[in-house]
Parts: sequence; structure tokens; C-alpha cells
Amino acid sequence: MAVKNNLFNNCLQLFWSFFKIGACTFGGGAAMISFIATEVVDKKKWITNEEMLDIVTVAESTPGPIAINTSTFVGFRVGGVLGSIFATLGSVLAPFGIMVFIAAFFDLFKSITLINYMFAGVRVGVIALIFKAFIKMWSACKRDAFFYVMFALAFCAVTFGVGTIPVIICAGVIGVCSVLISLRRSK
Amino acid sequence: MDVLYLLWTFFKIGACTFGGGYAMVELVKEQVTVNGWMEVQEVIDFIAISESTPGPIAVNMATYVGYNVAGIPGAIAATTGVVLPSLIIIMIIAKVYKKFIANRFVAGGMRGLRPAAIGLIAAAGISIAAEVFLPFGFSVESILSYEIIFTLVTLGLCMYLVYKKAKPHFILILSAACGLLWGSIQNLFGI
Repeated sequence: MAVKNNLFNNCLQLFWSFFKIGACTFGGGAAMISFIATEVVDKKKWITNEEMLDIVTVAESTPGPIAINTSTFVGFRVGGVLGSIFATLGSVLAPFGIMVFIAAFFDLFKSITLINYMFAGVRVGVIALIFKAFIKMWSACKRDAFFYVMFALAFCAVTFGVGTIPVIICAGVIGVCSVLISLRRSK
Repeated sequence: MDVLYLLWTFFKIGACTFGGGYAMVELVKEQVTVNGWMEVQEVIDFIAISESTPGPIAVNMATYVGYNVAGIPGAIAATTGVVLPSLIIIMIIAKVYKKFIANRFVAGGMRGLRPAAIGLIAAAGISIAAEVFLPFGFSVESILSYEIIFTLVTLGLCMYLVYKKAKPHFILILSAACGLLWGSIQNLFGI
């Protein structure tokens, strides 16, 4: 019984921690991860710093938004399956509420002329934001011949109308095959 | 039926998102426009909204689209769908994550996926730029319009902020101010 209570308590704490994280982080995944680290490593001491680094590595190499993967994983480490569900629910709840609110009033909002002017400008700003994200990921990568070929292939495939999902699946498969080929060569 | 379809579509989006954030803009854009849920322009507006509200873009987008298509049940279905792959996959590998990180096939897969994700960002950037610069397609009038000058000036200012490593919301505020100024000028002088 005591164990059960403890688990329930942990789950509530997880939910609350991740609710705060979800509600307070602007600017998407990367910002969220440093916030998660402060909360669960420094404050709550649920996991060690080293574990956190591993968790982020896993979150980056599994499908799904990185922030959600990280929440799920931390939740699992602290409270098993239930913990992971509570942590994920917590991190999603605030953005969910805000988005429903925006979706409900967006059309009304957009009927204001001045807002429309602003959005005409903001659309241009979004190009700059995408460019910024591109530069950041580009410079964080080790760039060899394989990188350039894969980059060009994916870019051309999507631009010329091959669906995004097949491109992603092929890229993963080609990556795995490249390992197989180099293994066979080294034999 | 709508609700189940939303769940499935956003499940696919969640399952194919690698690299997070902007890497999945192209994927989401494709899925929501193919299904007629949003116009490309709405997707662009949405990136700005998502950047100025808390939460990952994928989750924000799922909730927003879900609500627009089928109200609150739709929002719940789409958000659940986008989160579900994370939950399932992490639960499976959480116990063996050390082995997972060390596995050379995982590393190999990522070696293929990372450049592809960057390629997707580039493709999203270019198609969005085309939509913003030439919303009515390519023509001589659209190239030689005041709109183009406004767009170029705004983009130049924003790129300067990118170069100065400014935070995203500064870029959004600056571009919104440019839009406001340009809209008012157009209104006053009737260009």
C-alpha cells in the first residue's frame, strides 16, 4: 500500500513539474530541454546529470518531438509506465489549452485589419526563423561527402514532390545500409 | 471517423519526426495541406504563433488543426496521435537505452536521417519563401511590385537579426512592426 501511495505521489509530482515546464517554455524543443534539466536534475534530483545527457541523446535519435521524448523518458525513469504517461500529459496540457483558445478565436482575431498587416510582416520573419534553424543544425553536423549527398537527395526529392514520409524512411534505411556495407568491407 | 483519421495522421507525423522543431515543418505542411485542413499561408502564420506560445511546434500544430477540424474531440485525438509514438517507443527502449545509444545501426540510421532532416528544413524554407514572395505565382508584375520591395527590406532586417544571433521573438516583433508600417503606408497612400 505504501509503495502504491508513493507511486501515485511521484506521478502527481511528475505531472506538476512537467506542467510547469510545458507552460513556461517558449521557442520549442531546445529551450524546453534546458528547463527540464534544471527541474529534474537540479531541483528534484530525480536523475543525474549524466543520465540526463543520455536521455537527450535517446530523445534525439528516436522519432517524435524531442521535448516530448525527454518528458516521456524522465517520467519512465521516475515512475514507470504511469510516470511516463503523467509526465507527457503534464507537458502537453498547457500548450493544448492555449492552442484550443487560439484556435477558437483566431478567425475573429484575423478580421482586425491591423493584425492582418502584422501577419503580412511576420510571414517574412518566419523565413528568417527557418533560415536560423537551418544554420544552427547545419553547423552542428559533421559534414562529410555522405552528409552532402544525403542532404541534396532529401532536398531534391521533397522539392520535386516525393512525399516527406518516404524520404525520411529512405534516409534512415540508407543510413543503416551504409553501416552494413562498411561492416562487410572491414571483414 | 474524422477523429480517428486525425489521430492516425498525427500519429504518422509524430512517428516520422526526427531532429525536432523546424525539421518537421515540411512534414506537417504537407500533411495538413494534402488533407485540405490548412492553406500554406495559414501554416506560415502558425509557425509564428507556435514560436510565440509555449510547447513544441508539433504539439501546438496538432491541437490547432484538430480543433479546427473536429472541435475539442479532434484536438484531443490529434494531440494524442502526435505524442503516442514517443510514449510507445520510449517505453520500449527505456530499459535498454544504454545499448540503444551504443548500437551502431542506430548511429547509422541517424547518420542518414540528420542530413535528410536538414534537407527538409531547406525545402520548407524555400517553398515558404516562394509562397511569401510570390503568393500569386511567377509573373512580371509580381516581380516589379512594391510588395517585393517591402518583403526584401523586411527579410534583410530579419536576416541582420539572425546574423546578430537575436532571439526568435525579436525577429517576430521586428517583422510584425515592418508589416504594420507597410500596411499603414499602403492604406494611407493607396498603393
